[in-house]
Amino acid sequence: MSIAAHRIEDVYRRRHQAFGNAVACLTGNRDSAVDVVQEAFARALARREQFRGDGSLEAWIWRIAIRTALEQSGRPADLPFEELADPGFADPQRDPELAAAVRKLPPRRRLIVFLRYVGDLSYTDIAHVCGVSEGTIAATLTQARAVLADELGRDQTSQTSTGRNVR
Amino acid sequence: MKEANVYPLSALDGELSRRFHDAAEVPFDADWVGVVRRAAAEFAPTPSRPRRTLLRALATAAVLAAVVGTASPALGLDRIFLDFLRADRAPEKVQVDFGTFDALDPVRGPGVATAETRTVHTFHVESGDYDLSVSPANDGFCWGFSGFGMTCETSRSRPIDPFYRDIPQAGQVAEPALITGAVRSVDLGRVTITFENGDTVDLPLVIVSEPIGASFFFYDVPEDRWKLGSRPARVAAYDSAGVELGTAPLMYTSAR
Repeated sequence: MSIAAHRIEDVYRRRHQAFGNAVACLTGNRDSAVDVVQEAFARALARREQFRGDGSLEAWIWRIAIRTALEQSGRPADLPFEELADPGFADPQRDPELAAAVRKLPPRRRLIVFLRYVGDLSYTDIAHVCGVSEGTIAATLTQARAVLADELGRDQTSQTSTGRNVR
Repeated sequence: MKEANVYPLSALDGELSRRFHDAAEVPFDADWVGVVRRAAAEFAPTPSRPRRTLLRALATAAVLAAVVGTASPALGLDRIFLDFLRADRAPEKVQVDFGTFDALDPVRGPGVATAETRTVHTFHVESGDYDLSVSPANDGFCWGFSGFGMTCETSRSRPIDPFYRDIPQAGQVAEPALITGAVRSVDLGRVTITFENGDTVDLPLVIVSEPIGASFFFYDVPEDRWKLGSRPARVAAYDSAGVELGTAPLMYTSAR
């Protein structure tokens, strides 16, 4: 399955900012984030014949972006990246309380939290990016929210309502 | 259609979303041409990667061979599809020529990615060979034919705006009368020229993939069509359903 380049351009124009923000968290480097995103979209554009369509186009590009980020951080890119990434805010001083709370999460859970809250990915796309089931993502985020609520001094149970948050 | 899963959404989500965004935001101005430039470099031949160059040449040849195999028998080769990213980089002189669009008007110029200018095809016609070169720009693309001229198509361009050379006047040194143009669509049904006497001719098309995403036509007006009453009168583009996308008159400074 080959996709048209304009579909990649569409993802880029709508979502480049989210990619940049999330990549900065993956690499811990705000300066290199834009370069990583540019490189990731270029790779996606040049290798678009490799997109198999077994997930969304955006999830496929996210995988490329994360691989590129890890490569440029000097981490091996041939291992499952959810086991390798050690994400964190590039500038913790912007919200020290939140940065400290996020640090309480194990790296894999942190990656999923960043993809959700910085990248604005749907559960479905996070599942494709990480190569796990959607249920695993839901459970991971529930656990992560509980930790963050505790660290931030929030009572999560009293605020719960029902909503649809899968885009 | 599969129902999307429903997960509990808490007010904490709203707070987390806001705080994560605020804490993570990096300045990032979109630069799609920059992405295209990098993607194009993936296919750039270098001395250290001769095999890649060979593979690229073979891939291009395969595409052309496939197209030749499916060409319309009525018109011979009536359309060619070309992948911009796999086309050869244009000679430096052509790149420099394309750069003049911005050099002449740095503020309102099209923002041509000059280094990514590609020579995608050569038209072999009665009056000679003409190389088609194209280059992505911040707004649209620029294109031109060797020995003829170049222009740009932007979001403000008309659907079809032919770029042509006047019919030579009697007694002049006859330069070829050429009619060229670009239509911002890769799904054209046909482009036709209608002559002053009502005759029509379908033009062969060269379709170049994104980031250009356009179809190009080229017509070398034969001398028996240079006389008043039989000259090309208008050019029109139609989509694959036969709907006219645009039409433009062809006007001349003098009758021959």
